[in-house]
Amino acid sequence: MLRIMLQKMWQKKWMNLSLLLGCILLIATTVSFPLYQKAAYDRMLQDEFNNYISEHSNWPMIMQLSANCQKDKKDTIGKIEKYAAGIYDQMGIGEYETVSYYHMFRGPVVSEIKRDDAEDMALSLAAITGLTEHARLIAGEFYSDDGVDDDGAIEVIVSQNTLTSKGLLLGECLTYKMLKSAEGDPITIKVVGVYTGRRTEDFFFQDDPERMFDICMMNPDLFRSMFTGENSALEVNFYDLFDYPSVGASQVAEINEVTRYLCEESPYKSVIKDPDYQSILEEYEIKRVRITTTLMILQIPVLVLLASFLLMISGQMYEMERNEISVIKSRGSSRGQILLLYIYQGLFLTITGACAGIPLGALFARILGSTRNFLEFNLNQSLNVTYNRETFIYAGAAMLITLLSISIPAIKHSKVSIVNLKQQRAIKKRSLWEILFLDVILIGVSLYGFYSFRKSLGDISETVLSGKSLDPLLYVSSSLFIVGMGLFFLRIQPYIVRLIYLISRKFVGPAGYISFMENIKNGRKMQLIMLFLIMTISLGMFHATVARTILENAASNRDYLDGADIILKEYWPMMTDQNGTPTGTYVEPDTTKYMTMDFADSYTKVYYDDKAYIRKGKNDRTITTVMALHTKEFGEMTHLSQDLNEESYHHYLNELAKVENGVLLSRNFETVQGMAVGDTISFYTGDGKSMSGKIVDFVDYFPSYSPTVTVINPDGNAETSQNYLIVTHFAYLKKSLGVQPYEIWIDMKDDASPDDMYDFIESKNMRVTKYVNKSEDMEHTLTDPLLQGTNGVLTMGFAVTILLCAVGYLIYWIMSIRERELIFGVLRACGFHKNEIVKMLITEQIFSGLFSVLAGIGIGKLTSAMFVPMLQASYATSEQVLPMKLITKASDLYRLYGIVAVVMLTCIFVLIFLLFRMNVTKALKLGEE
Amino acid sequence: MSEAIIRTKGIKRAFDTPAGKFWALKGIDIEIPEGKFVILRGRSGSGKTTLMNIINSLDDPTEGDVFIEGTNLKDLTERERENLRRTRMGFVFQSVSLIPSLNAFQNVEFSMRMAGQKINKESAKRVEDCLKLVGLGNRMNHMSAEMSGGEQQRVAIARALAHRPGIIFADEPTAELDSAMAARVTEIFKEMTRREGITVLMTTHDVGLMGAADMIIELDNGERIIRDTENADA
Repeated sequence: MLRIMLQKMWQKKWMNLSLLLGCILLIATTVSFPLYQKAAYDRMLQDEFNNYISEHSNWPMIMQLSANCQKDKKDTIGKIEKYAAGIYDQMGIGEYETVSYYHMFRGPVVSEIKRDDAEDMALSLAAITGLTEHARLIAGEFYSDDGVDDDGAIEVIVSQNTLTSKGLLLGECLTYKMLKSAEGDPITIKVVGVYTGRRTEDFFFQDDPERMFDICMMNPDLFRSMFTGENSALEVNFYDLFDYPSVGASQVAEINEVTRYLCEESPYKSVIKDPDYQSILEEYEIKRVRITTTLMILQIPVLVLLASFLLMISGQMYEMERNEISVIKSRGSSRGQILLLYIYQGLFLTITGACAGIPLGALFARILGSTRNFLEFNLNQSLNVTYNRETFIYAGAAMLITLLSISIPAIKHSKVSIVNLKQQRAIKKRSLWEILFLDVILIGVSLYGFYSFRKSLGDISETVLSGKSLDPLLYVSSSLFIVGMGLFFLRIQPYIVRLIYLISRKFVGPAGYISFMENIKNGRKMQLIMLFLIMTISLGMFHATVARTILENAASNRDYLDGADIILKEYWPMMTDQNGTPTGTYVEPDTTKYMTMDFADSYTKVYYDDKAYIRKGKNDRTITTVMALHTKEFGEMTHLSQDLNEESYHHYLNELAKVENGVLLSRNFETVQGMAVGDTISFYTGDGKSMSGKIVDFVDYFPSYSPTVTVINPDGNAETSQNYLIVTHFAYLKKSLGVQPYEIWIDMKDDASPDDMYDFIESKNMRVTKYVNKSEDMEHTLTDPLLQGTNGVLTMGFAVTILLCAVGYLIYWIMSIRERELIFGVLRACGFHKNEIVKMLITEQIFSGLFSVLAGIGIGKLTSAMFVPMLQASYATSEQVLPMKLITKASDLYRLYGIVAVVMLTCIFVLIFLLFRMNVTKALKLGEE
Repeated sequence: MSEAIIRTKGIKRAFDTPAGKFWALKGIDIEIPEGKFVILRGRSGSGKTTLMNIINSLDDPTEGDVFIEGTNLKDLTERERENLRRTRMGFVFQSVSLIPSLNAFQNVEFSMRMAGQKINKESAKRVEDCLKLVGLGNRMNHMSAEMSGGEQQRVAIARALAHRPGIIFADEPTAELDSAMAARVTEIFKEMTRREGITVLMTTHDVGLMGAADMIIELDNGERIIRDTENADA
């Protein structure tokens, strides 16, 4: 059996290779999906952790256990400590550091040194494990290993704050009035050192030592042996710092589950604090679900195309093998045997396909991760792709689909015997979809979807903003529309051909005549491949537009919101009087240094205050943003698209420049607050200084200004509120309020890198309080897993379908030539020139191929115009400010057309090559055998 | 007797085989007068089809000359030969040779299109006449898949005839037909020579059909066998 199978496969090696290609691509595409996602989600999760660090300046994954006890008879503390150490194993995350912090309640002490306030002095004794490794000694030394000095006094170190606020001295000994050791002896402590807290990147100190005013740190081992027992009341905190960089996306569900158990059900739930990281993981989870759903929806049409390709090719192969099958059948082989033969063949192809497909899938995943735009990659930047259990589940599913796609046509064909084969061939059938009017139904359904979605366009972005994913129906409608229109085109295509024939029949030679007739009578045979071609091109165009639109809008939005290449604000200390109280006047940092930035084209000073407000009544404040700027410098450096405001951007800046105390207001001051040009507006800066200005004009958009602010409520719904802006002159603000802390907006040279700025900041020893870097933000925006994944899936999908389309198209034509070899021979014998046959085939290609390409382009354009705005809305972010624009880049389309043209030309060349190799007399002989 | 429409002089044809040159034809001289029904007979491998393909210009002889209506084929370019085949020759092949996307009428009409003749009412009349001649006047709109092998072959004959060629070449046209149908087809050829004055050159190995021929050329092992009486073979 195996030998027969291999023999049979070798005879149809090209067909089988195409099938194998289909298998490989289907498995690779399917497998790339979980692989890419795992890698992208790992990255996304780490991003979430890093965001947390930059926002909260704290370790993102900590679990805290705390307990108070008066008398620890049962060694509860010891048990909790042990339990805390075991949590790493329970969670399945490695340990970064465990910090145990023991703290005894404050007690009165008497110093050996006579002093005025001696009566009131009270100090706490505490210990932190690992303190000596993390603290920096300012004076004295750390406590010793045994923790007591020669006289038996407990050695302690104190923070600077404790030292100064309590007026302690290095080397001072103090004795507790009430606290006694287990033996009943009084306890004396000795200050041996002064330490200071953390360096910024050290997350060891969960309690900032600078905020400890009365705590003396002693040796933790000594502390445990002396005080954890029956004799003292204390508070203990255990901090488990998890090794978060090792946490992968696949662990999130388990972490959540274990955390929930620990906090709600474990025997120690009462001592465990709800950890912060839960909200990080929750946010991540919402994003992940949204991305997974979106990418899945995008990927399904590609997988369907792949499966139908396999069905098509295997169907075509069985069609070619029909004679053999029917002969075998007539000689007495059972249907089961024939079926088994095909199932073996399917298994062989599927398993071989998996061997190549799974590693190829990893490559696909890497390419997905390096997608920069539609059909554009940056291979330097790749994801860390690793296999996991999911990979193999997906691979298994894909293998099942390929096996079924290859074997199902065999069921139909194994029934055929030589008798009904001949009968079948004589029957000419209308396709089922034509009879059922599937095309009309599909178009109807998708148009219904289109109109109902268009009505609720605003709702879409709101739903999406509240964390829900792309509505599958929305995407399905666009796919259905494409399929429906494609089928509809196939329905009318024969009539178009007929019409062209009627018009041109006077001029058509014999070759053209045959092409026309072939197409009119036998066109149905080509429907599948034509539909394939139409769908590839229209989906390709649609996807190119989707990808380009989403990306460009995200990029221009980022560009707009950041305003300048670099924005930085230095630390502005406030002047103090002799007593050290702030005077309200700021010390302006030296700005001459900015003139030495050789990597920048220009810079300008901008006052930016987003906590300013206007007042209506006494308690009625409306928050607004105030910007004060040099109109000329600012206008030269920033840009704004012409179509965003009624007039050009510079027109407004010029208007403002003309009025010394003028202000430009955001449009909502006019529409919501009812103000008018020429009015005077009074407003207050964030620290309450008031000034006023004359309204010059209203703007809808202004660099970095977002007219509304969308926040996601705790209940998960998105809420949008007005955001106001007042723009005035820098000089006028300075004149009114004196020098206020301003930002520096910098326009970088084209070849400058962000590192230039960092180096500059470091070399000038600047203390920066605000830093915006557009190129980094842009990078972050463009590598957002949702955007990048969408782009990647769309691009890969297109690449895969165009490849299949080329193979399918070529196979169709090779088969069609093989099938008609005899007829070509006859025609040649009757005096047809080779060129006439080529002409005939080219005309046929025009009717099938070129028509499909044109239809694909038309349908693609129509679908883009209709559905992209809606799809785009489903990629909305709360940061999206600019109105969405449908963007189609000519270069994308040319690239698409180029690929299609190469494919079609290759097909024509292969066909001509085959044709010229064909020998007339041989072809005729073929027919005789 | 009119002048020979087909004349060959010393036709030799060699094929290269691993064992050296194989001579399929070893010097054939024939002269066929216009308007005759000629049967080219011989066993399989005797060189019938090779000779036929050389005469109808699909193949070139290794040596020798072919004259069609007085013209030496060697003097013609590839294009001119194709033109000759389109206008002056008609072909009937052993197996199904109809164009599947055309119906019977269109198939027959197609030879007129190929020959560059005007397609109009007259041409339609001609197509009908040809189909009637082969007994298919009532099946003009049928597709080839809807017809039997014999019917298809008759359509092919009508097609070979429609553009009024000088010669019709029929290579084993009866091989796939039953004997009654084979006899019918042979009759049609015979009738064509009578009615239209067309020369028909048909190859066959079916002995039963020889009676209809005006002339029999027999080949054996690449050589022509001259017999005393044309119909004496048994």
